[in-house]
Amino acid sequence: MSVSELKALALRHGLSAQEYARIERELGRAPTRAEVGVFSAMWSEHCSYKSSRVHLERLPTRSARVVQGPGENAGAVDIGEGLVAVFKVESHNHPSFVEPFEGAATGVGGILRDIFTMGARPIALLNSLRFGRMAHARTPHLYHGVVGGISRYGNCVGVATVGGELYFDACYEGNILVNVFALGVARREDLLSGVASGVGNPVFHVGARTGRDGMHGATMASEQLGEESQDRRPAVQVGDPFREKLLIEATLELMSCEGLVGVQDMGAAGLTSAAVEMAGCG
Amino acid sequence: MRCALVVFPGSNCDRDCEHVLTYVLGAQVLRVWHTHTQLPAQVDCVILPGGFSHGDHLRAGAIASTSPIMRSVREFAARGGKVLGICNGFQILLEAGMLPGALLTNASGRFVCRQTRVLCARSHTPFTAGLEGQILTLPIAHAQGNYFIDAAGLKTLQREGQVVMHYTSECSELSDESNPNGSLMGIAAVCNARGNVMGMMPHPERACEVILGSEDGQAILRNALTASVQAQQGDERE
Repeated sequence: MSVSELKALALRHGLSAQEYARIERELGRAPTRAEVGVFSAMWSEHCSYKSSRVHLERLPTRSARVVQGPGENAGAVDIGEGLVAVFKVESHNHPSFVEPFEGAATGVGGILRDIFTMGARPIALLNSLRFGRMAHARTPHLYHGVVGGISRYGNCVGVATVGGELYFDACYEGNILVNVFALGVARREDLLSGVASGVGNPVFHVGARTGRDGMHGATMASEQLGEESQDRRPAVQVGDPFREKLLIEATLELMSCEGLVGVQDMGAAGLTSAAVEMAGCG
Repeated sequence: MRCALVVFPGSNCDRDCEHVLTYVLGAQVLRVWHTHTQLPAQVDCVILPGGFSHGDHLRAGAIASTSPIMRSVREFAARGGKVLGICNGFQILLEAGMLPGALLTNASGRFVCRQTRVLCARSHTPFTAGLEGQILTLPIAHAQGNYFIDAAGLKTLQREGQVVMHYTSECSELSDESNPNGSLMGIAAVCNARGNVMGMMPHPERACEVILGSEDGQAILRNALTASVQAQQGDERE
């Protein structure tokens, strides 16, 4: 692949010309095709929070009760008696707009993984939803799909959806908001981290079978949505709550095994981000 | 009081059951994995909890009904032991042929999660001993709880007192409004001819503590542990 082709590929995957120039500068050469894939996923808004970071940094994150602030799969707060509440909220706006049922369902699956990879058992789900006016042509389809996806996934995986909030307004007609929250409980000393250190440790990659669904999910989630968004349907992953239920039990059972160095959720960028993030922290 | 709790891959109400049986009712709970071939000795009852055994693949309960442990559950029931299936556990008992009828997709076509009121009918099952004529508040959460049986089967159920619970309204009437899933005659629970095997769609384990809005489930689970199966006629019916 020529340099100009690589650059075109990078732009198609959502990197800007400036970002591509920076990759060349950092590497001291043109990236390989695989490297373009890694950078486009890791530097996507979804994975790096590059544009929302300035806002997120304004939120309070320090207190005597904060056991785990930003930087791990989820946050943890001391709730006394040796227990910590582990929780996280995440959006799944774009996937839900493109394919509401699976988009919202995998949003639930993703946020649950962030909780149990911390060593906490998920016990509750919440959601915060914004749709356009019901009179808008697409709203009923989006609304029923999202609500159905959330309830189906939560019920299958066995974690109760205990509440939520819902608003309809014309301003959301082109960009619905689907935020899901999960809460788990753990003993403070049982908390796991996504840090991988040491040389020669085996890496185990476990979970539902990965298919071609969900490819480029992280970059798709970071794009502006338009008319052509429907074509991105294959970039929405299809969830498997049954496998995730088995994964919850297996992960929590693993906690009692000696020799577990760290656990990391494989999010939208999959192996690309999970392995790099773990090594980066170690 | 000892209870065997059978856990299948995808069961997800097992921990709720274990919590209630242990901490609310003071029973000893023995978790039994689906691949085991023998139930523990001397248990007062066997409970098949709710969830999505094997992801509901094929049909809800279909794969679990062929699990190795089910042979032992069947033998336990044949000896007169009490077996209670809740939600997916009910679906498993139907698929295993241990209870009559079938559970179809809800008439609405949707997953339904809400509090229901169920009327305990007159029956000889130990699970509702002392509850006949009472209305209990119990939650349901299912997509396939629409009970169906053919006309001849329904006649037998009614004659033999095998209909254990009906969904009901505030004024204890059977009506379409109070029927959350389209079940025939609003049937929420049935038992076998002998009365020692019962399946129910509502979740008694989710209604055993005041903080959860109802304690009405306690009586059913307590009966599962302590009530005795009536010997009269039962064996002949079998």
